[in-house]
Parts: sequence; C-alpha cells; structure tokens
Amino acid sequence: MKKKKVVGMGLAVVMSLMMLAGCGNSQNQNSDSENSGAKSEKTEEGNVSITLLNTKSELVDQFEEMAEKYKEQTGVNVEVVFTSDVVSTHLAEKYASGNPYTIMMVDRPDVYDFQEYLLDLSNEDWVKDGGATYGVTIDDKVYSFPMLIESVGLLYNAQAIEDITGKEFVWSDYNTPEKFQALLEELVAGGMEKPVALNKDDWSLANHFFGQLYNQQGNSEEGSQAFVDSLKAGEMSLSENERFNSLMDSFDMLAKYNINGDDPLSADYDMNNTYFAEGEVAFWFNGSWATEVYDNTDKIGMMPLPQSDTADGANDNLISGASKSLVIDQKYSTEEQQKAAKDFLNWLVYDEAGQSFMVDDCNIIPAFTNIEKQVSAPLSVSAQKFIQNDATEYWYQTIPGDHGTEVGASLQKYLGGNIDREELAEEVENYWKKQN
Amino acid sequence: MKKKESFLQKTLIFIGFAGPAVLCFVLVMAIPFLYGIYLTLTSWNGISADKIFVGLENYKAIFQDIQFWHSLLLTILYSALSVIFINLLAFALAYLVTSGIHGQNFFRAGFFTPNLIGGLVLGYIWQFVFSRAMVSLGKGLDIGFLSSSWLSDPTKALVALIIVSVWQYSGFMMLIYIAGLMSVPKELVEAGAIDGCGKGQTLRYVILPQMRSSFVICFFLSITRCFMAYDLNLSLTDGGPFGSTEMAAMHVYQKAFVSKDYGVGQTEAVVLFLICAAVSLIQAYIGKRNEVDA
Amino acid sequence: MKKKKAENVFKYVILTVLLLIYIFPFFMVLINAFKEKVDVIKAPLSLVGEHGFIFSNFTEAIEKMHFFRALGNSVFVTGISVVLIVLFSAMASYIMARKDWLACKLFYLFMILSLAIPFQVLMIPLVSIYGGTLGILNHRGTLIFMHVGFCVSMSIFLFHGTIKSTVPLELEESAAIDGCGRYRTFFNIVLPLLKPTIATTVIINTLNLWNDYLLPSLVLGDSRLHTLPIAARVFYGAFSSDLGLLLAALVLMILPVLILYLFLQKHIIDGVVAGAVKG
Repeated sequence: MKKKKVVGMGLAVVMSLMMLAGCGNSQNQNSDSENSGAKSEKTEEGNVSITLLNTKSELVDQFEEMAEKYKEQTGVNVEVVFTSDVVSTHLAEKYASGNPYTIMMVDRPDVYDFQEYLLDLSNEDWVKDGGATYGVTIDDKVYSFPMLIESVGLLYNAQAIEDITGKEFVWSDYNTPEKFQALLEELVAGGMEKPVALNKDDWSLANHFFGQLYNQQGNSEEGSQAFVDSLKAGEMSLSENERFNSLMDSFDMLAKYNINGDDPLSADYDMNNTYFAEGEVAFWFNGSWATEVYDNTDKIGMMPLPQSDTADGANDNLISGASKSLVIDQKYSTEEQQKAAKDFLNWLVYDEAGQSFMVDDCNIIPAFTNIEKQVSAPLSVSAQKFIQNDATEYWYQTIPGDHGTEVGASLQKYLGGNIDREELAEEVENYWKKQN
Repeated sequence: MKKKESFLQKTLIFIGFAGPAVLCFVLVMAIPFLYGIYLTLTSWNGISADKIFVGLENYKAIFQDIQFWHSLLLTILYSALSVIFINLLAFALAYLVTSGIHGQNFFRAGFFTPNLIGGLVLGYIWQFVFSRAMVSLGKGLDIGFLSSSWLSDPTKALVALIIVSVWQYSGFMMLIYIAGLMSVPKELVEAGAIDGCGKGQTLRYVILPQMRSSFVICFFLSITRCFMAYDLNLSLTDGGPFGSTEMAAMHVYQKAFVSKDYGVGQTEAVVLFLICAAVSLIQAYIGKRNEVDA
Repeated sequence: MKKKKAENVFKYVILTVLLLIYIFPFFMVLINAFKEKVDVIKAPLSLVGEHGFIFSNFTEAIEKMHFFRALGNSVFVTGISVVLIVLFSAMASYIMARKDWLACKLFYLFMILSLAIPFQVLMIPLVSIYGGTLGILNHRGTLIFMHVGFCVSMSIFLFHGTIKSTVPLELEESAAIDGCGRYRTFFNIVLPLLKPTIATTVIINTLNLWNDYLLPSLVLGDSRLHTLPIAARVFYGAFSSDLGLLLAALVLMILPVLILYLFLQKHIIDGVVAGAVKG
C-alpha cells in the first residue's frame, strides 16, 4: 500500500520538479532581459547580442539576410523576430512578461504609449539629418528612428489609362474633381466599366482615406492637432466643414466608379491588388507599400486625391510621413545592448551597406537627407519625387488605436448606403467626443 | 483517533490521484485568474508599469459601454442558435456513423476534418466561400439571396457565423457523442429489440436516457466555446459589416488592447465569464436533475 | 429486408452530401497549396492553376518556417503534454467521481467553472507571473506545464462523466476484495475500461495543442523553440500574404495529426469491444 502511494506522490512531484528546473535555468539568465541573447553571449565572448522586432511582413526576408551580413561586418548578433500581430498588443504582452526586444519597429502612436520604456535618442547624429523632422519628439526628446517614409493617395496604373486614352498620362492634368471625373468617364466610354478600386478595410477607410481630414489642416502637426482638439472638445461641426465635404464629395465620386460598387463591403484587398496590377481598374486608393504589382507593369505611380477644396495644396501635395519607426528599449536591455542598438541605427544611416539595405533591398524611401541613393520601385520613385520637391502633406498619425475600428465602421455604413453624410458626420463627432 | 487518521489517509489518496492535475490547474488557471480579477480594480492601460488602484470604478464604467451590452446580446443570440444546431447535427451524425454502415470510419474521419484546421484559417477559407464562391454561384444561377456577399449584411453575416460554427464544432461534438453511444450496453439495445421496440422507440427510451452525461458535456462545451468565440469572429467577419457582428470576446479584446482601456476590458471579460459560467452551470444542473428523474 | 436496404441508401446519400460539405474547405486548402499566389486569388476553385501544378510552395514553406525544427518542437511539446494531461486527468477524475469529499467536489466545480474563463482574462496575468516575476518563459517545459494546467479541466470533465456512467462500481469492489490496492485497481481495472474516452481525449487535446497559437506565442519568444503554428504565422501578412505558401504550410501542419487521428480512431472501436466484455 505504502509503495503505491509513493508512486502517486512521485507523479505529483513531477510538475513541481519541472517548474524548479525552469526556475533554476532562468535564474542564471535573469540578469539579462533576453534569454536567447544571454545564450549566444556566453558562446561568443565579447560579442553583444541584440534582438530586433520586425513588423513589416514585406520585409521578413530582407531583414533576415541583413542580420547575417551585419554579423559578418560587425560581429554583433542581431536576432530578427517577425510578428503579424497588432504591434501594440504584442509589445504589451512582451513588456508584461519583462521580455521585450532591444530594437522594436513600431507604429507612430506606439511611441507615445510606450514612451516610459524607451531610450532617449536625442543625441544621435542622425537626428540632425532628418531624424528630428520625421522622428517622434515628446517633451523635446527624440524617441524614435524613422525607418521609412510612406505615402498615402491615389495609385494610378498609367499603362491601363494610356491603353484607352492613347496619350501619355500626366497626373497633374487631372488634379481637380472635374478633370478627374472627365477622365473616369473617358475610361468608362473606352471599355473600362469601373475604373476605381476602393478598399472596404477599416484601416484603409478610416485611417487613410478619412485621415486626410486631419492631415490637410494647415500642413503642420500643430494644425492637425488643433483640428483634432476641436473635435474632441465637440466644437467642430463636420457637416459644415469644407474639408469634410470636399473629401466626401471625392469619396462619392470614387464610390460611383468602384469596381466593387454592387456590394462595396465585400471588396477584398488581394482582389483589388490584382484588379489594379492587371489594369482592370486604373485607380486604387491606397499607399506606397502596395509593391506587389510590379510583376505586371512598371508604369504606375501615385497622386493626391483630387478635391474641390484646394486649401493647403491638397491637390498638389502627397501625404507622406514616417509610418514605421524603430525604438530602443531602455528598461530591460543592458548598457551594451543599448549601445549596440544605437550603433545599428547609425549603421543604417551612415554605412554604405546599411543604406543599401534600406534603399536597394527594402525599397524604402529613406527619411534621411544624407542618403543620396535613389529607390527603384516605381511607387516609391513616384512618392520620392513629391518628397524631393517638397510637395508633401503632413501625415497626422497619432490617432487613437480604436479610430480604425470605430470610425471605420461608420464609413463602412456610409459606403454601404446605410447612413447619409449627415449621420456620418454625427457618428464621427461622437467618436471624438468620447476620446477625452 | 481513528477519524483523524482517516482524514490523513484521505488527504494522501487525494494528493496521490488528483494532486498533479490540481496543482497544475491552480498554478496556471486559478492564480492568474485571481490576479486577473485584481486587475479589474485598477485603471491600468495595459502598458505602463504603474497600475493605479481604483476600486470598483471599472464595474461602474461598463454600464456606460453600450457597445459591450450590445455585443453581449449578440453573443447570447449567436450562442443559443449555434448550440442547438451543433448538438442536433452532432448527435445525428454520431448516430448515423455508429449504426453499422460500411465505411463509417471514413465518414467519421471526414466529419472531423474541420477540426484539423485551426480557427483562424477556417475563417479565411469561409470568408472566401461566402464573399466570392457563393456570389459567383448566385450570380451565375441568378439566385437572389446568394448574389451579394452575406458578409456585407449584418443579419446574414451573423447567419454565416452560425453556419461556420455549427460546421466546425459538430464534428468535434460528434466524437463525444460517438464515445457515449459506444458505451450504451449492447444488451440493453438488444433487450429493447426483443421487447418489440422500433428503432425510434429504442432511441427514445433506451439510448437517449443512457446518453445524459454526453449531452450535458456537449452542451456545456458548446455553450462555453460559443460564448468565447474569438478566432472565428476575427477571421470571418472581423466584427463587420460596420461593427455589427462584434461579439463579446472580441469587444473585450478590442477594449483592452486597441482602445488601451485594459481595466475596463478585463472587467467586461470577467462579466462575460460570470454569465457564461451561470448559463452553463444551470444547463448542467438541469441535465443532472433529469438524470435523477429517469 | 428491402426496407432496410432503402434506409441504408438514404443514409448514404445524406452522409455523402454532408461529407462533401464538411471536407470542402480541407479540399480547398489542398488544391490551392499547389498553386501560385496569383492563381489562388484569381481562381481559387479551379483544380490546377494557370501557372500549373507546383510543388515549390512546399519546399519553400519547409525552408522558411524551419519545418523540421518546428515539427520537432511541436511533437515534443504536444506529445509530452497530452500524455501528462490524459494520465493526470484520468487519475484525478477517478477520485473525484468516486469520493464525495469536499475537496473533490470543490475542485471539480472550480475546474468546470474554469472552462468558462475567456483566455483574454488570463493572458496578461499569466505572462506577468511567469515572465515578469518568475522569469521562466522561453522554456518548452513551461509551455508543457501550462498546457497541462489549461487542459486538465476539460479532460477531467470528459473522464468524470464516463466513469460515473459506465464503469461499474462492483468491478472495483470485487477487485478490492481480491486484495487489489487502490492504484492497481485504477491502472489494471478502471483505466482499460476508459479506452474510448482516452482515445477521445487524446485526439481532442492533441488537436487543440497542435493548432494552438496564442499560448505558445506568449511563452516561446525564442525562434529556436517555435512550434509549427508560430512558424507558420510568418506567412500571414498584414496587408497581403502569400496564400499558396500559407496553405502549403498548413497542409504540412495537418498531416501528422491526420495520421494520428486515423490511427487512434481504430482504438475507439477496439476500446468498445473491450468494454463490451465487461457485461
């Protein structure tokens, strides 16, 4: 009888032993924030090891290759991790577990949310070379490294347009609603029944399309912030706002020629991508990241959405900004890791190999004035022209995280014909009033 | 004296048999759950290192979150319909594939395949079925209710969610019903046949009463799973069109991590737990009570 | 006799129609895993894509997701977890079903209630305690331990019902009279009778754990420890993903459990035969 009891007790102890084993292991590593980092540090003496979170799915391969090259060149081991989870949620988990990354690629609002954990980068060299312009500055301190510039606007497939009109497509010839609509009619007459693709995704509708409302407010951070503040305070009546009406007029125009028009809420991002790449539609409201169309044609580019309200050069300037930024953890990373992380950022900006990684491998439009390399991907080339000509519009990105889902839902209702413009204005106003 | 010794013995037996399971359960579920309850008393945003204690503020705040109550009602509607159809279909399938027909193993494997594919991917596949395959079919054959995507209409999108849930979980519950059906003593069924019971009568008076515990288990599992549906909700409708199919688990997640209001989100999750636990326990209680009656 | 035949035909027709509906998505995954991305998007229903029947998705998926490393991790974690879950919960449910002690009732009730806890409630507390305070994340052992903690409740629930309703008490009593100890009675007499439920719990738990993404992704940050679902997640993009590649990865992921399922299914029937002897 006793023997058997021992067997049972033994089983009960199994789990506790397993836990103890776990504890024992981790105690050796507790001083280092990254277990994996700690391991490699032991094997390769003197070499620091850092981790980097990549959150851009298009760049997974490029980052892995870069890490190998970087190790060859500098001896520093960069372990690249990719996640397709929502960045802030992923980082919230990582910080709760005391296990974040050394360098993290985040969206702009995340820099504000996670500020207490982030390293002050104000004294880095690259701040003077564009970092100050595109990085996130909080209380006069720069906390983020602008990884890439992206633009939002109307993508055009010049090839498809020229095939019908028979003459060269120059976007600036069509940058008013009247001229633009005339072109759409010409395309329809030429056999392209529905020349526009419109996404139904909430991030696209709310943060990118409707986001223009916040962007085109004096072309400055202060202007956008003041506008948003007046919305929060409930002092702004959208239905009387010229920009709002101008934007929604253009929206209605796009919706009228939308290839998904029969059932606009069943639009599919990948399908839109295919329609656009193959020239079934000529225009797609999206951004410079839509790089998967080059297999079909190189004759594509970007233009601002034509609107009736031309204030702030809305029809000439392309909305551009640093969408993804790199930040460095200061709470859980060691001094050496932080130093290695800063060196890595410098390498990106000032080393030939780093520049080549960003511009040639990733087709990134760099935010730094010292980089003279030209991008080669057509959409990036098109967007870069606006940037180099100073024809850009400020991109207000510090909208709340639930703006996409909530305002997105309102815009979906509008697109699906469930509410009218008056009701849309009211729902958006109500959303902002809740944000205090 | 004797009594005390037997208590010690009892304790040792309990630890010997249930110790490992109970220990893991307490460490992994019970303690984090209690800590989770504590977090409902803070105004934490999910990120910051400070968690400020606010007492019952969050419990007051959820009464003002109309969307939460809306999502909860929707969850109850969805769960009620799903649970009924899941179990009807699952039992029917289990009954058919244990009736001794040829190739029943093949059928069993087939009905179970939905469970081989994880929830997220299932959602994406069905999204394609509803918004593309069915639409092209509907347009081709000129069937009105198929010619536009079900996912762009609030009511039809809910129906789509129910259909996919039924399809996914019925195979799973079928497995439990099969195990239950297999445990019904053969002699009982045979005795029923000798007494002149027809198939329907055997099912009604011999098999079903023996299956009570399977029913209680399956209802319990399907209720809890439907109440907490998240993966499917996210991947099939993503709460759309325009937020009309955002169910409780998804709302809670959004609140905690997207609206960065972790305290309120966590509180709503606890309320969801309370409702779900109450419903499933009442169900189990009724099931058990009937067992005594029989 | 004739009536029975007609009835069988009817059954077959119903079952076959249902079966087609049930395996349709699986079929979609399979045919599209052999297509290029463009073809998956444009013509997902056609059997073979415009660019032909291609295997490169599989080779690429194997390479990119470090398939064999992830497979090893998945087998290790799922295998050990499932064995422990089944063993621990069968033992615990035996005592809980047979004794009406307060501890038995209480823990059984707690476990049942825990099935209604949304994972979201536990997510952050779990990582705070095991990562922030104890610092034992990034070990496969920790994940196994958590899997056991999460899964014992449902398994106990399943075993409890079976033991109560189908394992005859007299058998145990006579074993006790024959001088069988408690543990021997359980392992030699009760456990064999539970075979169908064991097979069921093994299948259910294996599938749950094999496809689980959320918990492993919280626990295993180190890419060398990644299990298959985490590894496959690389292919899900935020804006656009390589669908063919994703589906190929999925097929690779499903195959091992499909084989296991087909193998275990036989045991459910064996178990019933064994159970029938008892009467």
